[in-house]
Amino acid sequence: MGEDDVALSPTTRNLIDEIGTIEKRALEELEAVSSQQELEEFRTRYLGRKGLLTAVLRRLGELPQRERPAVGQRANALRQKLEEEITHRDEALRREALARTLEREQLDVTLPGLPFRRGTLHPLTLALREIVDIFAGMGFSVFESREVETDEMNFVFLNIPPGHPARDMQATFYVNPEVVLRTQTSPGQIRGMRTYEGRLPVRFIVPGRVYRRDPADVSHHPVFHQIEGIAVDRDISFRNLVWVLEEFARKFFGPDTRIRLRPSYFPFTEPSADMEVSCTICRGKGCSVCKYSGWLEVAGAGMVHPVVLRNGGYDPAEVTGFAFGMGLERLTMLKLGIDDIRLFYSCDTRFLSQFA
Amino acid sequence: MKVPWKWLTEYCRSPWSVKETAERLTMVGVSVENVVHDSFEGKGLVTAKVVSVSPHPERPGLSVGFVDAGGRTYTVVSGAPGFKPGVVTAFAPPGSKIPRKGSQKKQGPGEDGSSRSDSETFEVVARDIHGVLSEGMVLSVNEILTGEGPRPGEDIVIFPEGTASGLPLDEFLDLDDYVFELELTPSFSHCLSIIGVAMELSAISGVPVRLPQTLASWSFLDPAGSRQAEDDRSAGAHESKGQRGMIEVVLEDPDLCPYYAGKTILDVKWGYSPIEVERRLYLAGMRPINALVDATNYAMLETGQPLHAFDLDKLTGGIIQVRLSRPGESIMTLDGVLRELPPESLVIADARGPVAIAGIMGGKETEVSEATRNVFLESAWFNPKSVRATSVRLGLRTEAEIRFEKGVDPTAQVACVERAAELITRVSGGKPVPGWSQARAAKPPRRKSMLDLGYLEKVLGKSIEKDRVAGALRRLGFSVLDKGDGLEVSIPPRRVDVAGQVDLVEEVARHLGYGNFQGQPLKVTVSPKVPAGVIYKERVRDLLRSLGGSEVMTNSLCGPDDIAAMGWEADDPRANPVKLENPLTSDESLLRTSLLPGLLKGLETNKRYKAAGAIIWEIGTVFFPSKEELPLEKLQLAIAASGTLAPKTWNALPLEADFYYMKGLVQSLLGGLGVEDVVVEKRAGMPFHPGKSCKVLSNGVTLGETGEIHPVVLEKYDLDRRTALAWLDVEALRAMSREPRYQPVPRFPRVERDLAVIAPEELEVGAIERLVKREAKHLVGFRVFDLWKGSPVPAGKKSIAFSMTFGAPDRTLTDDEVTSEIEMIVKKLEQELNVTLR
Ligand SMILES: [Zn+2]
Repeated sequence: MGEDDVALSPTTRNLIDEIGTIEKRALEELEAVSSQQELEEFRTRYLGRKGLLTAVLRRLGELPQRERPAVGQRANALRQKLEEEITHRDEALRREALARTLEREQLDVTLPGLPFRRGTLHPLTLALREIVDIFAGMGFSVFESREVETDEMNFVFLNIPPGHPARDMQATFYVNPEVVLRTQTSPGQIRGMRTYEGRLPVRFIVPGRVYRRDPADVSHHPVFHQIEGIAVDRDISFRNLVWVLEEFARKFFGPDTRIRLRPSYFPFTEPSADMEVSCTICRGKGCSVCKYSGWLEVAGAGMVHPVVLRNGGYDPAEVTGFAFGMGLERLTMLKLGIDDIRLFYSCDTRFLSQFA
Repeated sequence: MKVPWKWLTEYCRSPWSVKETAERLTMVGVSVENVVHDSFEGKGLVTAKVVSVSPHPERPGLSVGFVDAGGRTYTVVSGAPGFKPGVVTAFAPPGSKIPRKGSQKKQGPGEDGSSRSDSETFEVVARDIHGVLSEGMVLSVNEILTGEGPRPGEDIVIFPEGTASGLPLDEFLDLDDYVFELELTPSFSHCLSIIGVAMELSAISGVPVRLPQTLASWSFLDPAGSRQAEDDRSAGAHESKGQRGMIEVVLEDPDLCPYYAGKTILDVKWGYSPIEVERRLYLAGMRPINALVDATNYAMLETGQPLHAFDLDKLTGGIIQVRLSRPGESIMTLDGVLRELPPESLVIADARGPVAIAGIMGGKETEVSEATRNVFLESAWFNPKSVRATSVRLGLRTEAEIRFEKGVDPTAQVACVERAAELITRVSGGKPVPGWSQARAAKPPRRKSMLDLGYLEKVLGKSIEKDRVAGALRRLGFSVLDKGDGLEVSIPPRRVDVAGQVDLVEEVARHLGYGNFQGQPLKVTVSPKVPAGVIYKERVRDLLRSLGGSEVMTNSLCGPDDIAAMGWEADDPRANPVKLENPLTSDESLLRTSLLPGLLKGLETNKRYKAAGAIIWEIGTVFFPSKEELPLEKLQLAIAASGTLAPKTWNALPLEADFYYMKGLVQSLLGGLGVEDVVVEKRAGMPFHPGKSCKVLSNGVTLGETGEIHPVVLEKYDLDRRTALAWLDVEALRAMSREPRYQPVPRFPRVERDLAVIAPEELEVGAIERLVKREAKHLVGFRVFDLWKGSPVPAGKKSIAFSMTFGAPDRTLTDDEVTSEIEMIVKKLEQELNVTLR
């Protein structure tokens, strides 16, 4: 209390005392408030239209004119203080309530979620997509060709006339003496080349099913897939073939993969080569998969034979080309470490669900 | 082709180890698939000298002798005629071991990359022979090499005089060896002989080939020279005509046999081959027969020229005709099989009839036997296609046939028959009659090709100096003339695989080594194209993956049982598949007309593995006969699901493979593919349940069928009762798929109203939906959310509750507008479908 107070009227002094009492009580009560509802009651009790503090303000009129502002200020200061305290209290109460709710709302997170079904693509589809992408990166288009073929397309146009010993290399299913199940995707070379109608450059792959009259075992299946590739242009060389095969091997099997070509024989290519990659299992050190050679055979390749170029509508004096053929199953088996080709055709979902 | 290492290196000494030699040969195209280490498994066998022999006290025919095995003397009982004092033979003392050849097995490759050939052995023990204890055995060649007893007329081994006693037999006979197992491509038929491989080895190593004197005159290294030698011989042939043992040769079909040479050897002695020869034959994969036959086989393995030995005295009429078989002719071949000769088979015939099938197998009647005194050796060139065709028709392949069908050196006949004659006289004695019983209809052509170095560079992508190219070709046996703008290359007759320039390019490339050609990027950049059909197929795959289920691939071949199980009518195209002419099995004798049988088997597989259920799908080709030359190929998609697809969990109901599951899957797929105006028509054909299936159409085009499996079909499979299937024609889907188009997102709020109605039980909800869509101007959605039959709904009725969504693109619909539409719907439902509000 200052000097001024001495001069205050008793009524005023009473009222000021009352404000002090209200403040003290209010703060005590607020401390005990433990719910939103109690807080609301508290607010009404002090700040409501009939509240204790409101009542004080109403009595201001009873005071002398010049003493009113001081009391009014005090009352308003208290009002403001209580409002702030109520806000704080409200926030604290909400926090506590939320904490209690969260405490209550506990799930057993170890229970499984809803059983969504995730579909799977066949490992051969996944591998083929990768292969198509790799060759697309080198400018190879995709050409799909038929599975039942004429003997002429499957053999004769590929430089394998009737009676040719190379026919023994592939056990053939016949529909009739002139119609076969294609033993290789190579007839796609002829059909594909012909769609270019002499335009250059020719560059495409032919993925698809092929058929061999071999009983199924761990490494044979009468139905399997090949990817044929061919490039024809004015100056395609054996060294271009080497590059394409190297690029493929590195992208499909990994950047450290090395390749090796050794002489082989296919009637529709010359020079012909078997392509081997450094063993994907032992990295070339030697293991049972590569028969301790460090190398795995994955493709046949070579320079397109002049007879085949001619049958595709190109003049071998003008253009050269290379071609290759690889087994999709074998590539996939080596890449993923699958040891039985029959698994691909088993429909066994325990196998199929491993590849996404 | 099996090439014993020691035999090979006799003709061309290798500067490299066995393993490295194999690798280097492989890298020039002589593919060595396997290197087998074949060591002699016998133990403790030694040379031994027979010291004295006396008759067996009990048994006439047996003798008792003492043998000196180098320091120790053993008592041995033997009945062999050669068991005489002074003879040095092979001896197995007690405790020694003799291999059993029949038990030979090959083990996988070891760390050094070579396989090991092991055989079991049996131990020799001292045993009592009619009262005399025989301490071991004196051995014949057959006993040493096969562990079996002596063959008829076979004596014990008799080593040259002066051979020391007690020498370990495997070392003395040098039996340890390696064998290269070659996997030769058709272009390497010139390596179907030890000498052929030796020449490749010589070409890589530069070590010259050394040939036996008799073969040295077969100068295949120089094509021009060999022709000369040939001509000289032909001249000499006439002089010997009319001599004893000469036969008149008649070539009736010069295209199929332009040259035939016979060699007569008189007064041979019957016997078996020496152990070195038998051992080599075994290692090369042939069985020794007798010295005469072995000599022809040995010479064939050596040179690649098949030879045949006739008993001269069993040939009738002094004539050999090389002619086509006549109708009804047959021959008993060496293997004891009586074979009817297919028409147009080339045969060797005497005055009575066929005595051999040309190039394939000789006849039993004229074969050499113990009684043979005089031999007639045949060495001829037969047309490869003819030999192959006859072989295929007879289903008979022999070592000779394999060589003839690939083509043998047309100039080698005389040299090779001389070589065989030399081998025979060395072992069996006899007197070769000078000259040959021969006929020649045509001279083998001289073959030449030009090699343009520009072409070589273009194909290989690398410029190679003329000298290197010529050098490579010369090493390989070609003769080369520099003609300025190119090389003129003479092709050795034995290289039947080489004809033109491109073959020479390959020869040069493989000789230099493919490893010398470094990769070179493709120059031109091309933007690749993927056909729309391929992209679409992959889109279908991605959608199906997102909808669940596993993609499978099943066999494109099926069997009659698979087709029958589907229950299609006889005139259904799917019941009339394309048939294979030469199936492996009946189960794989037809081309599939539907993916469903394969998928049903796939479901069975999963059931066998105790899966509660499975969803599998495939995109693949199906085939139908057509009037065109080639069958029709169509791309199909099929889905099959069976059992519990997702089991009941604590928070979800189980998902079962039923009609609505499959229909929903198909609908989602079609929606994802942008197929519009899809309608279903009740009742699909077999193999679907007639009441639980439908056809799926769009704009009047049938896309496929979906539904549950017909109970009759289900019976044929071991499957869960709940099995649902679908198939779709991918090309039809593609034709009906629309590319997505942008439509403005609705800007005005939509109104949802529900109706609950009572309808006749048999009424399809589809009828209500069609009516609602027809009547409501602003309908944008229709969804059935409840369906109920039974109490409190009266019998014969069902309760349906559905929700309709209304909206307009340009404004908010008023309540009145929606209400009036609904009132109209309610009215029409009652009038047309006898459907009332609940
Ligand atoms: Zn390995």
